[in-house]
Amino acid sequence: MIYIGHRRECFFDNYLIDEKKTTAEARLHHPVPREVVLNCDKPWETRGLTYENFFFDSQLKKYRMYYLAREALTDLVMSEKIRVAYAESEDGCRWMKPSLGLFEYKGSKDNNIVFDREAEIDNFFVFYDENPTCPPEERYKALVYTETKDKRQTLRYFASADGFSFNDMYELPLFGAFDSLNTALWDKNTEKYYVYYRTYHNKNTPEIVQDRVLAPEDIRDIRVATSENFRDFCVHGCINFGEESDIPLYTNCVSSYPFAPHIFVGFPSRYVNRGTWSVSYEALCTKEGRLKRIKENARLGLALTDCIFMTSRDGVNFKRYNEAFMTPGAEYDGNWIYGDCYPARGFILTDPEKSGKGVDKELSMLCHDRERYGGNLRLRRYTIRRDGFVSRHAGGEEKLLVTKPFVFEGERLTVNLSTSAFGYAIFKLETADGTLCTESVEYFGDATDKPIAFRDPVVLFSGKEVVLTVRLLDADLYAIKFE
Amino acid sequence: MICIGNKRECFFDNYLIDEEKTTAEARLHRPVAREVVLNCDKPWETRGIAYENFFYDEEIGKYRLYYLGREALTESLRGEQIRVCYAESEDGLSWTKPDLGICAFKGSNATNIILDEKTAPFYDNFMVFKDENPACPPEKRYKGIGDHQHTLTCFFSADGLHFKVGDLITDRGSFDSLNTAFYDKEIGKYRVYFRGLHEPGDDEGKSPFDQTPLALPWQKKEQFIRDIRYMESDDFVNFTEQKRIRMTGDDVQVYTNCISPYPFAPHLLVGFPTRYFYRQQWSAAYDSLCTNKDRVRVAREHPRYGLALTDCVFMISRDGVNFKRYNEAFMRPGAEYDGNWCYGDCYPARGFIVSDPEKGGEGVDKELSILCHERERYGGNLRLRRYTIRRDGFVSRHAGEEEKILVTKPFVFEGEALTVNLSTSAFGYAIFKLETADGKLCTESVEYFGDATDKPIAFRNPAVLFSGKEVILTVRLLDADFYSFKFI
Repeated sequence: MIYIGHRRECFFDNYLIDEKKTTAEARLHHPVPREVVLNCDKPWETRGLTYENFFFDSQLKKYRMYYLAREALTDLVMSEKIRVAYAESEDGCRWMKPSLGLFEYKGSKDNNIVFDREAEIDNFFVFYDENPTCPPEERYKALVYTETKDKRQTLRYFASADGFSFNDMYELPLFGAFDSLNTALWDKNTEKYYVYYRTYHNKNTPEIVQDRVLAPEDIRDIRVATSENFRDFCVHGCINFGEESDIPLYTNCVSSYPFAPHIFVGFPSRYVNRGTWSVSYEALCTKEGRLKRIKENARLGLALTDCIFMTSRDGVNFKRYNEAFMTPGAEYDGNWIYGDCYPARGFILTDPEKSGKGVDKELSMLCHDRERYGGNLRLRRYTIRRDGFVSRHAGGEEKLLVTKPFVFEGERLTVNLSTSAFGYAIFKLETADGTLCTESVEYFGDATDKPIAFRDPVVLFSGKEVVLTVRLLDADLYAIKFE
Repeated sequence: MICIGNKRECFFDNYLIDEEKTTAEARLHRPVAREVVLNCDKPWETRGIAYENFFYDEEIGKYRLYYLGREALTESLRGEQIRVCYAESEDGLSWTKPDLGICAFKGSNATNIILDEKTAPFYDNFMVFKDENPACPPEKRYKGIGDHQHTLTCFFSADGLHFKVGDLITDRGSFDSLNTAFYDKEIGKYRVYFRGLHEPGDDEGKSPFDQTPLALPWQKKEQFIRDIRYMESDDFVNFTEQKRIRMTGDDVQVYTNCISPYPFAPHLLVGFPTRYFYRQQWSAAYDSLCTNKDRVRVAREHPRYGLALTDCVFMISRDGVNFKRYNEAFMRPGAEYDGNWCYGDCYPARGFIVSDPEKGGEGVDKELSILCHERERYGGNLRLRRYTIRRDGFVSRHAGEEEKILVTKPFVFEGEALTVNLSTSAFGYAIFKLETADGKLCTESVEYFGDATDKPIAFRNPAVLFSGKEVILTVRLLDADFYSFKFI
């Protein structure tokens, strides 16, 4: 029996859906590109910014972002030296780069460099540890890829009391390649830390490849390990996609979904190397730059990346959508490259473009792109409806959504619903054996927490097993929540 | 046999599609709300702006916009006087309201008003088009049509600013929302679309105005279904008998038609009628809808002002009379706030702007912008907002995570190369194949990926070998949207 209590249930997966009776299709939605919110215009970051990650710090009332900064040596060559830069924002739309005074760059500490070490690093990820037992000096935890002197790839843990000064703690006891953004979170529900990290495996076996460099036939993958104390880890291996095909995936961008934290969401980048040049590349943008990179290394010019959406209820078994969540988009002289669609990890709550008093917030996400091939990177905002990654959709014909039997606790139902003026959603609660409990009138409108009134008070059915049936026309239903 | 020559064929309808063999679904796309481009901030238009219509005038290198302006007398009461106002823009994004000196407001000529109660007593709407008929005399190059004393009347102008009242077009109809007219180069005739009414269940195309021209009281109108009427003309003087346009689907009420030839495939007529839906009874659904207080206030005037809601659908025709209409909304009122979900949402302005996408750079393809006002009844002054959509992007043939196939009916093209409007993910693809009508392979392409509106597709054998012969185009699609194709 499924117990949802008063949790928000999103339709990212079919956990709650009776697929045999449901005719409303699961529709994936795509984020809409908006304005550029950050340019890498400082000399120490002209070839930045990458592996951006941010979170809202409720103590500081600010979004805090960490990203890699690199200098440009020539148009196509960037410095080996990687620093970590910092930016902050009150609304997630206007970002500032404060002068931190921590590290020297060309004789001055007037910069936003927040981390600078001798050892080579590749990515730097920070999260705010909400574990109540976390000591204050470790409240901000950073995962940092470092290479040891004997060229071993390791994931090191750095801790900070303020998110500015980080102390080297220890190497995480994990084996992997780690050379794209690794992530971690503390999950309130299981009271465990989850770490998602990159490595790769042989095409025919999920074993980690440890003793040699990546071979063309190796598959980039995402591993997960859990821990109660962030010191001792239980390694679960590759995240599990069930019967899905074994395709290369880069950065995972996994987090607890803020509006339904029992659900894990991820936005891994899909890596596609077609291996050989074809007339399709001839007709693709950035041809000159592509040919230059191919001379360096064929895959740097041929490989392309996009981003998909995945979701999990246990952090290990994921449903993956094989339709892209973000695509490189309309061709211009800076996209369709190995490096498109690596979204920053984090969500921002923002007002929609078309709005006024009383409007519901939407989600903004950030993703970098280039002003031109080989040009400076810039961080762009994208928007999507709250809970809006996947809906159950009905177009011009009425469709039905039927849930499995579940038990809720609460006095009323609220839904995240969008209809046209003509469209509707009609809600019905039944017992598990199909006896009508109560139903609603025809609802229409567009709100993320729309209260639905039933003919009989919903509280009568609280704590009992029910089935929710929704008739939908020209509508998208995104989430339900009893409260 | 279908001959497409070198015309662009969009997948707005299934004219070219072999539906039995095609598994790629027709997916309707919706425009994305962008910034506000025009506010009605002049005293003579604070309760405007309505029935906006615009076109690009190549002679002056500008978009020219016409709209109605009304004063606000109180917060909820607007002035009876309707004026026609004018704005112009080089890019369709920043608009200016020039001081034309044509019509005065409260003693000053510094206004953008081109018609008012002194120059032409107006009732409801005014639409302007530039006449591309080579036989059109220069003094009538710009033509307006409007609801003038409950008749549809034409207006003429040499410059698009100074209009004179012309002849009656028809008095049989209900003209009180934006009627449209244009010269259709494809057929060498003028087409006029205007509002009408019919009895529920009537399939004959009869109109209550056949016997009783001029205005019906609105109480009487409510017994009828709002529809769209059509006439054509060789000279814009003599018009054919009116017909009701035929739309697929149920007989739902539609307002303004917004019909125009689609600029990138002018043999296709596209329309964006506003769907009017009056639920008649207050229910708990209205309780949980935004603008509740204002809704109750206007519902006291008449229930339908508060209860009726509007959205906008997309429709497409190849003959100007028979339209395929999508029942899924093209524009929804959108996220509730204190100014929407009213009778007056989703009346797009007639016209298209070609603009640069938000995310882009050198070499990026243009997209379409359309304009639509908001806050018709509540929430403050009206404002005109820009929306964007891909060129040819109203409907695509779509494949998600499973490979789908698009198969055309047999057709004949003329040209040397194929270009397509295609969007894929990095992982997705489109593979093109030309076959003879009896299924023999002519030639095929490699796996294509990318995102461009005019992507050239190379076949193993040049496409020109099959020009003028009957062929079938088959496209295998994965994680891709295919919008249109064109042989050039």
